[in-house]
Amino acid sequence: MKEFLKPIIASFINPNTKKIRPSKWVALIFFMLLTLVPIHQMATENTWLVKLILTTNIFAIFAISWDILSGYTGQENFGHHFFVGVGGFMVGLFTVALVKPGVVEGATQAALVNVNIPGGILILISGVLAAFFGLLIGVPCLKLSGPYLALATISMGLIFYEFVDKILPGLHPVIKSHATESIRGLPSLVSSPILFYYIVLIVTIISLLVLYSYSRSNYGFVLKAIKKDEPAAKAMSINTTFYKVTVFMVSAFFAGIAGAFLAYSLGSIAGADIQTNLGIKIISMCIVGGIGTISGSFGGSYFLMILLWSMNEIARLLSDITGIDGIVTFYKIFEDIFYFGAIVLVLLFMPHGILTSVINKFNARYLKKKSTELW
Amino acid sequence: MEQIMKKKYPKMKIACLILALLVAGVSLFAAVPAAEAEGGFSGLTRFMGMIQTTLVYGVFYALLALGFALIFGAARVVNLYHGTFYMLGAYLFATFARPSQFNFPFSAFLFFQIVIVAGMIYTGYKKFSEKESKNKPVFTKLRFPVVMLIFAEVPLLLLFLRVDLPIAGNLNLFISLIFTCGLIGLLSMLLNKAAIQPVKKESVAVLIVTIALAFFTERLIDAIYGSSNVPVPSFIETSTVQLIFDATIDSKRLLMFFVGIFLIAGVWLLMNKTKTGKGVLAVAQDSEAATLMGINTQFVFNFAIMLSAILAAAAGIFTTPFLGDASPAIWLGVVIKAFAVVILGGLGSIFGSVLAAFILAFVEKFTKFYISSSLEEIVFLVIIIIILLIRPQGLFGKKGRF
Repeated sequence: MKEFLKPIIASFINPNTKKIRPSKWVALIFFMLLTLVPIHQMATENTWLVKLILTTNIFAIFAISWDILSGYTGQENFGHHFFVGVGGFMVGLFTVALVKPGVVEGATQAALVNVNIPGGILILISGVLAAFFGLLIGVPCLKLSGPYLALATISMGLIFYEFVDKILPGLHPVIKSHATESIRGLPSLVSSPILFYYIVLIVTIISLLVLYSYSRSNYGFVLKAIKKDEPAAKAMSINTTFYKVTVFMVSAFFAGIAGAFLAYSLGSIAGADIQTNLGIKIISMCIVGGIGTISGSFGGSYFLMILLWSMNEIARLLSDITGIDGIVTFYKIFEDIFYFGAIVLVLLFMPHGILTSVINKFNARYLKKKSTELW
Repeated sequence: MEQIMKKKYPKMKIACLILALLVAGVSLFAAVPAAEAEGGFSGLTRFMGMIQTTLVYGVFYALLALGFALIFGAARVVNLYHGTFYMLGAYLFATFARPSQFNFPFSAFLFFQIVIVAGMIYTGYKKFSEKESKNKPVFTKLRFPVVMLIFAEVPLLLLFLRVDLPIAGNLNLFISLIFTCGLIGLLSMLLNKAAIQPVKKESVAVLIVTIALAFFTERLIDAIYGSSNVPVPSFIETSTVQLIFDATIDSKRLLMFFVGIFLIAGVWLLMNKTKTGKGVLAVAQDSEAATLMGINTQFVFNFAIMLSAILAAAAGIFTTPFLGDASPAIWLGVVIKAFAVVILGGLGSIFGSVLAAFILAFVEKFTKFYISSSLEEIVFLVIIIIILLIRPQGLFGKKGRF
């Protein structure tokens, strides 16, 4: 156990100087600041900041769980939205669609199952179910990589979308087909939105800690070895199959949990929420932050979400000042274009990601040290 | 070269035989399911409908997959932008050819606009990658093209802000076809130069860049044309063509079928009878050996990506009139289908994908006509997964690491 913990502790505390690494202080201060965010809502009765940070946290979990599978292990998953959808629809089905009576042309149809699962357990179940799907996909996809794995995972996501869009609506009249809100009216997880904010924050911190420790433990080193050269790792008598399937399940588990939180925070879940562009948005967050570094993708998701939000605010302000409504519409149209443009520009000009490049430059110029890793 | 060809494609004769039989089949028994409109199928019409749709869709998928396989063979990259060429082909053609109430040559304006923008981006890219100017700051290097770009883009920005300009060209259909193919060819070369070549060594980076650019283009088209669908004009007016045994077929489908067969045959001739095409095949077999034999691989990449883009655009122009109007999101299904067909055919084999296209079209349409039309897509996707699991090298591909 001590051997297992040693590299993890070393990533938090410098073993030579016995001091906590400065980057960890940055993280600590950052999360302390995040706990103060609800004060804004209490003071000004405005919910936008809490909502923004909440959504960003959920997307950050998507990004880091994608990164542990694809950035670290090199199993590029283009269908991460599939696991998100599993989590989200699990919540949608077991809080509304299956357990509530539906009304068809005036006549009431009885609920399909008569269970009442508490929210916390439901979230855990959706994580476990997503991990199970991760196992189902991970085992057959073991021998695939690169474009083949990409096609397999994209197809999985499309199959799930078709299933949700065409087969699921036949189950129960509450579920609508091809709408932006196919399951509506989800109950909130807890009574107050501020408590929900704290729950999501704690889950984010736990996921970040777990995945970061996972990447810095001996398991994480094996994952890196698999990415660099899988035959060589096999030759070192490493059971790469075990590690690849495990990381698929871990990644899917966290994505499923975050998907469940996404459904709770949206108050509805639909096929439109889990289309292929969600998977590409998750990838763009990781690439902007720096692929293959858990903290990089975490930072990348915050960077992109807050950048896009502030551009939205600027557009709103501009239209207020000038009186042209077109500016906001113009921005709304272009919001997604920024995501996909950012990913291309960053990949072409800064393949290590913006945050990693900036911190490396900072280190090289002011601290006179060469660093390839963020935090 | 001939002998290498025979070694490489031993099953081509069988493939051609099956193709010929299928073509003979359509000319004898093609029938449109006339009963469909009345709400019921009789056994024979159902069967005829299935055969006919299979053939039309087979040609359609073959056109798409041929281009996809060409790029993979020549450049070893998987180009997920391929579906966007299809979508852009339909959109540009509609833009050039749609009649407008104003007699304003918008399409010519748009054509020159896009040529200017492409040229500017290309110059910028060239200046950016010049070795001697490596020490200059980025903005100094890109100043000229960026300023020119802004000037060229101001009219388009006006369009985005919903200033009422009619996006219609009012041009002859054949001129529109030529304009569209030329633009798509330019765009594909630009894509190759600016996005694929810099990251070519990392196959996954190519995937991410091309799919991100495809989504980018989707949103851009959405912004320019609005999310409502755009009707694409056809070369033929809708009518039912009488065939043997009281069988009928939609004229647009028949046109697509013949144009597709013509193009596939053209590509086959180009690949096997001309020096350029043989060069592409040689690079597909072994690019290093081809370089040693004096083949310009860079030219071959450009040629292959241009040919594939034009094939995809042609498919877009001729299929969208009967598949329904062009919408920005059609590219994803198209590229997934092309990818699946190419994998079933074998990623190394260019003409194996033609046979695979007919097989997959048959499976899809069999499901549609005999099981359920809502299961059509799911069955197709499940088949992709099964192929990937059982035989990832495809029917005619070589074994290797996947």
